Amino acid sequence: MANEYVGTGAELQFSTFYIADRLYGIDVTQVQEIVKPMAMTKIPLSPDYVRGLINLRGQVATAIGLRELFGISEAPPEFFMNVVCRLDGSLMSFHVDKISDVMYVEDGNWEPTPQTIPESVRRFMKGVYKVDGALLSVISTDQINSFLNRENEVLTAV
Amino acid sequence: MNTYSRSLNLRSHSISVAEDKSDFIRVNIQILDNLMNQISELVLIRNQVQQVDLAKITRNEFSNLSKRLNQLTSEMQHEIIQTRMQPIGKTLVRFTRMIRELSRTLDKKINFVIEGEETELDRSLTEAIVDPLTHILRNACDHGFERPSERLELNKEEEGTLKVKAYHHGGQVVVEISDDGRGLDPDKLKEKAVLQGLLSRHHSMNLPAKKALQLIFHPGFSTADQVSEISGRGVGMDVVRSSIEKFGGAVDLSSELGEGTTVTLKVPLTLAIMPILLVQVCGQNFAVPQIKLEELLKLRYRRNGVRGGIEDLNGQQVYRLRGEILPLIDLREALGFDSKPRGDGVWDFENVVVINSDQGEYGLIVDEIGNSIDVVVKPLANCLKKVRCYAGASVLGDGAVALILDVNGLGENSRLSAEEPQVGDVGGLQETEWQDDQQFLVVDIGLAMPYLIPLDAVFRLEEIRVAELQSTEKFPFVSYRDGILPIIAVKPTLCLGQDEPSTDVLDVVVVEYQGLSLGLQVKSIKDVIHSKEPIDPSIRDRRGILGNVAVDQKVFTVLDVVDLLQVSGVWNYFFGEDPSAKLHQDTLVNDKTAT
Repeated sequence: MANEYVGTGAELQFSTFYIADRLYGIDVTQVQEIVKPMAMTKIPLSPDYVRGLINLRGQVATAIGLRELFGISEAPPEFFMNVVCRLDGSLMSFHVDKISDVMYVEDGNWEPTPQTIPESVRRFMKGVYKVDGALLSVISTDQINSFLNRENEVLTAV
Repeated sequence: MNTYSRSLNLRSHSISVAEDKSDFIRVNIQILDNLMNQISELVLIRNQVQQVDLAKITRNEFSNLSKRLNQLTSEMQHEIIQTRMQPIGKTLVRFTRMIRELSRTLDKKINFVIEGEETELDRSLTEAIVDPLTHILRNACDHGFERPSERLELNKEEEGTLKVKAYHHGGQVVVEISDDGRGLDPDKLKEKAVLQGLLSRHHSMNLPAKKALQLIFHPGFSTADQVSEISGRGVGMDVVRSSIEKFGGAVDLSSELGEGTTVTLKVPLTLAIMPILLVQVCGQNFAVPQIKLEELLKLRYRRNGVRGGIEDLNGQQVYRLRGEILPLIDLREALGFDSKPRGDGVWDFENVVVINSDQGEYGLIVDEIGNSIDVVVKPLANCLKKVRCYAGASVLGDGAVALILDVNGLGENSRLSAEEPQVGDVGGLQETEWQDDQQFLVVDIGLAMPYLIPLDAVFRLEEIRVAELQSTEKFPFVSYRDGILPIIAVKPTLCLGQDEPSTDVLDVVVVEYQGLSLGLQVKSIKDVIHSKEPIDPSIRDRRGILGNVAVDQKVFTVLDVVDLLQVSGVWNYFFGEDPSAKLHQDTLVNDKTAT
C-alpha cells in the first residue's frame, strides 16, 4: 500500500497528533480509537520504546512510545494520549504528546519524504502532505509493524 | 463423531473426510438449556445495574448485586467449558487396535487397560494428545515389555499390562501410562548419554537417578541399540515433551528397574483459562503457571551464609532442598529490577517458588507470594517475544494487567548470564555446545607421547622429595597441608608399564576431588596449552582416558582424572567410600573438565 495516497484524486483523512511539536498523522482507517492515559503495567527487560501493557476493556494492548521509537531524545511530557491501532491482529497503543484534529488532505499536496530526514524517523514515514501552515508527516503503521517484527527477528537470531 | 471414524492407520485418508465435520460439536441439550437460563438471568442483572440510582444504592445492595454476578459468571464459565468437553475414553479406545497389532508384530503379550474413560477434556486437547500418546505407547510396547519367555523367567506374568489411566487432579487432567515391563536403568541411560556426547562423565557420576531418567527427554537421545521399525530413532520423547508443553501441559517419567515405567502427562482442562499463582517483585504482579509449580518455600537466609539456608556457590545462589542442590534465580535480578537485599535484620526470609522447567527444577526468589487464581491468557505482541521471559499477559480482577512468566525462558536467560553452568540439572547437558577455550596441562608420564590433563581439574603442581614419601602396602603418600596426599603413578594405572626408578624429586599434579587432595605422579610437567576443539571421545582404548583433542594439528590424549582415581582404587583404599556414591557440591570444582 506504499502509494495508495498518490494519484487517486480522492480526499484522504488523517488522524493527526504532535510529538515534540512536530505534526504527524496516521490514516484514520487504521486508527481504532483514541483514549486517555490509563494504568499501565511495565514490562521489565523490554525495549525502551515499549512502555507497558494496558487493559483496554478486557483486551491487552501494548503501549509503544513513539518518541522513543523515533529516537526523539527529549524527556517525554507528563501528559500523553493513546492512539490505538490494530496491527497484525494485536492491539498497539501509540503514545503521542497531543492529539490534533482529523485532517482532510488532497493527494496533490503529497511529496515523498526528503532524504535529509533522519533514518530513525524516515523508516516509518510514507511521505509528507503540505497543509495550511504546517507539514504533515504520514506515519505508516505497517512500516512500524514490520520494523517491530524485524527487530524481533534479528535479536532472536543473535 | 469424527474421532470414532479415524482409525489410526487410515488417518491421512480420513482426515479430509472428517475436516468439514470437525467444525461442529455435539452438545448436550441440557447444557444449552442451562446456558439459556443463565443468560436470561444475566440480562436481569444488567437491567438492575442500569437502573441503579447511584445516589441511593446502599453498600449492601451493591454487594448483593456483585455476588450474584460473580456466581452467575462462574456458572456460565463452567457451562461454556462443558460444551467443549469430551470424554477422553473416545480417544483412548482407538489405541486398542494399535496395541493389539503391535503385540502381534513384536511377539509379545500385552493386556491394554483403560481407566477413567469418562474423564472429560477440552476437545482440542483430546486431539492434541493423540500423537504424544501414540509415541509413548509404542515405546512401551517396543522397549518396555520383555518377551513372554523372559517374563516367565523373571517370575512375572506372561502377559504384560499396559495401563492408561486418566483422572482430574487440581484443575488438570492427568493421564498416566504405565507398563510393568523391564523399566529404565538410570546407569545405562547415563552411559548412553556419555557415549552419545550429551553428558560429560563428571556430570554423569553426580547425576541422581531421578534426573538421569530425564535424559530420555533430551533431543537426539535414544536408548535403543538398534533402530527398529517401531521406535529407536532418537526423535521421540523430546518431541512428546515439546508438543505437550506447547499447550501448557507437562510430562514426567518415573521408572523402577525391573518393575516398569510410568509416563505422566498433565494437561490443562482447557486452553483459554490457566490457573496461575501471583507473585510480586518490586510491587509488580507476575503470574506463574500452576502447571510449572512444584512447591513453595520460605527460606531463612543470612547474608553470612548459614548452613541449611541459601548458600553461595561460585557466585550463584543455591539451596539444598532435601539434600539436592536447587539453583535459585532471583526474579528481581532476572527481570533487571534493582536487586537490593530485602531486609536489614540478621535473619531474613526469602519466598521461593520451586519451578519445574525444561532444564530441571529451580527456585524463583520473589518478594511476596499472592493468591492462586484462574486467568484468561492473552497473547503478547510479537515485539515482546524476544524478551523470552513472558508467556503472555492477563487481566486481573482489579483491571490491572499482569505478565505471565515463561519459566523456561527465565531459566535459560539466567543461565546465559551465569558464568558457570548451573548445577544439578539436566540442562548441564548443553555443555556439548560449549566452545570456549579449554586449557590443558601437558605432562610427560614416561612415554613417547605427552598426555593432557584438563587444567580445571588441577589444583596445584608440587615437587615432592622421594625422602618425604611414606608408604602403605599399595600407595605412597606424603603429609600435605593438614592431611595426607595419596600419590598415584599415572603410567602403571593406565597399564602402560612401570615407572622408571625415580630420582630424588617427583613431579606431582595435585587434583582436588570430593574436597580431598590426591596427587598424580608424572615424569615431568611440560606446558599449558589451549584448545577450542571439543574432546573427541570416540577412541578410548582404556580406562582413565577421556578422549583425544587436536591442538595445532597434533592429537593429544586427555586423561580422565576421575576415572583414573577410580581405576587406581586409591579412593577406596584411603577413604573407604566410592566417590560416585557421594553427591557433594565440591565435585563442581571439576565441572568443566570433561566436556
